[in-house]
Parts: sequence; structure tokens; C-alpha cells
Amino acid sequence: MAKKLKAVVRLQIEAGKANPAPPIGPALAPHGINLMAFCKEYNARTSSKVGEIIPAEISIYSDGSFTFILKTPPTSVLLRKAAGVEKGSAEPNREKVGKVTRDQIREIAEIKMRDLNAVDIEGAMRQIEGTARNMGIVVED
Amino acid sequence: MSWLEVSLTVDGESAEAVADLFQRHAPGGVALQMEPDASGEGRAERRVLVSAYLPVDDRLEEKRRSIEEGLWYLSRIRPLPEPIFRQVEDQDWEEAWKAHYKPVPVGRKLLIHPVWLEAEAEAQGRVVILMDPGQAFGTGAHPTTRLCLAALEDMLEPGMVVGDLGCGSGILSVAAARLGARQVLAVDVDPLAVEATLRNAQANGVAQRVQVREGGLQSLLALQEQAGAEVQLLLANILAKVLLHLLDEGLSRCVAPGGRVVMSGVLEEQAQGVVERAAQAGLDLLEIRREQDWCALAFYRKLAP
Repeated sequence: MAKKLKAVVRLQIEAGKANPAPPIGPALAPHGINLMAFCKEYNARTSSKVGEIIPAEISIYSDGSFTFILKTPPTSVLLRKAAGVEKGSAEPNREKVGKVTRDQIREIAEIKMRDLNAVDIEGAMRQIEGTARNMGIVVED
Repeated sequence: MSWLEVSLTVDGESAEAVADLFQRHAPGGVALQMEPDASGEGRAERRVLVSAYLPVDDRLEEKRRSIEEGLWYLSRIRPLPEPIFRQVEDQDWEEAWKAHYKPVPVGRKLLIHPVWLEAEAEAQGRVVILMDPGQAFGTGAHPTTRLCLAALEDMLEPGMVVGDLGCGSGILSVAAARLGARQVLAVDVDPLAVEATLRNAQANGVAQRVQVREGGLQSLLALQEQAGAEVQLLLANILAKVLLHLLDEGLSRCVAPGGRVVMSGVLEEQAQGVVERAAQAGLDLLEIRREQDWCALAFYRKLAP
């Protein structure tokens, strides 16, 4: 029988820099997760990507064991990087903060493909474009 | 240090936007918690608890206002519930984690025992190592630490001088002293680790035989000179990337010719690279121990030609 899932925690944290401070401690400690074990493992697996946000998705089972997988960086982070802007717009419909090309959208879609529920690359690109609009980033042809 | 927790339960669709907003203001990152679906096999994305932590400092009010403002704009696209703010002290979660820390038997002879629990007097005929891991690594529960301890048990001869490079909580140093090392020389670049090692050496009554200093290879060489002793068994439970760097920096000089080195914290796929680099540095592979995806490598430093 498969082990019963108790909770799923997704941490959006910086590669190679996990430590027991918030948000990791408060998110994992109540589940009885060995914080040091998680941090060490996460840091080992992300050590080549320091400076990037690499989310970890932790599945916690009813017997106290856990597994985790690394996800691709959040779309918004990739878009900000591509547009060369520090943050998204507070009022995306009025204030535009930057632009990206369609090629850049395709590149991001290729990175994100495995974590998106898109059927093909075009579908993934439409999702990325949607996020860009919500951030006040213009997509150019 | 204390923190202001901001959290909000939203549906899967709003979660990424809220997380992105939090990420801008919370240096440590964002946590998203999802409940499992009814079957207990997959996860439900209908309700996602997004939380982040703002350090309580003089910029707190400003950050809190920006978050509230950002949420207000997001709520115009999709309705959102009000965020909940709550002050959290650092100790809360550290204690919460400790509650799950139990005595762990390691190797053939050792029992790693949390210092805050009543000692089960020399339980199971094992040598008890009392540990207070604090914020440094090495609780005895991770495969890399267990592998290193098992190698130590097999390789340590009474009266040896042991080096511990990257001592963390001091678990390896204490175990070496408890298993009969004459002297243990430990270093770590993290001052918190130096403190933890001293504390744990004291708790185990071996502080006189464990010398600790902040730093890396140079500090370990300096310690040897000061002690007038050469390391015969060197333990380095770090990470492959750091080990490769240390090998280039002259790690093998920290152990006497004819001495042994145990490197741990190496993932299976990284082992070959470490073995090759070690060979260039004059270290011959003796054995590889494996547990889960991790391995510990034991080397012999060749005698000078």
C-alpha cells in the first residue's frame, strides 16, 4: 500500500542557502521534519545554482518520512530576469515596467514546461504571457 | 530576532501571484502549504496557505504597507481574504523540531543521544554521545554523518590524533574522543559551529582532548603546529564541491604521510570526480561506503617517495 500523504509544502527559497530560519523552520518543524537533514540535502542539490530561487516541493507522509523534489524557478522570477527589471508592476494594467521578446517567452516556456500543465509549448507560452501581463511586462513580437 | 509572519489562504490560481509579492519583501523566501486530496495520494490545490516572514526591524512597517498595498491590487483581479499577521519568536520552531529528535544508534558502538533528554544510561551497551545540534549540522540522523561515524569506528586506533575539517555540531570530534583518540583538532568556518562543538565536547566530558578553532585548512595546520602533533586520521564531512576546492588548496597536507582521510557529504554521482582529484593530490582510495544516494570515501595518504 502506498504511504499516506499528510501534507505538501512548497518552499520558494534561494539555492544553496537553506537554513533553519523562517520560512523553512516554521513550515517544516511542526511536521517533525529533520530541518538540518533537509537543509543539507537541499543545499547539496542546488549548490551549482546559487543566486537563483529554486523551489523545493516536500511531500510529508503520515509515518513521518518525507521526500522532496526540486522545481523550476517561479515564472515571475524568470520574467523579471529576462526583462531586466527588479520587480513587477504594482498596477499592471496602467504601469508597464518592462518588455520581453517572444523568443524569451519561448525560452522560459521551455524551462517551465515540465512543471506546467500545458499540452504543448504554445500552451505553455500562453501561460507565461498571462503571467507577464499580470506583472506589467509587455510581450513584443 | 523575532519575525512577523504574514499568511493568507488562497486558491491555487492566486497562490503564485501572492507568493511572488511576498518573495519581494521576505528575504528568506516563501512557504506554500497544500493539503492532500481525499485519497491521500495527490495534493489538492484548492486551498493553499501562503506564508512569509519579515524580520522585525525598522523597515518592518514599510514592508507591511507594501504587502497590504500589493494584496489590495491583486484583490481587484480576484477576490482575496484578508492577510493574517502574527509575531513569531525564533525559538518556537527550533523547539518544535527538537521534540522529534530521538536517540539514534549508529554503527556498531555508538548511540547519539539528544542532550536535553534524560540519558538512557549507556543504553544497549553503546557509547553514548550527547548532542545539542543547535543550528549547526550533524544530528547523527543524516546518512553522511552516519557513514562518517561508521568509518571512524572502524579506522580509529586508540591514541590517534584525529582532525575534523568542517566540524559542524562537533559530533565527529566528540565521537572520536569518546572512542579513544588522544587528541582531536577541529575547525569550521562557521563561528556557530565552533561554539556548538565546544558546547558538545563539554557536555560529553571530552573538552580537554578536543581543540576547536574557526577557519579552514590554514587553521587546522596552525592547530597541529601548536599541538606539536600530526593528524593521523582526517575527517571531512562537508559537500563534494567544497571537498574538490579543499583538495586543490592542499587538503592532503593536513594529514601525515601514511595517514587516512575520510570524505563524506558526497553524492553517488559526484564520487568519481572526488576520487580523481584526490588521486592527483596523492591520496589513494581505500574504500567507499554507501547509504541511500550518499557515499563516504576513505583514502590513504601515500608516503613521500
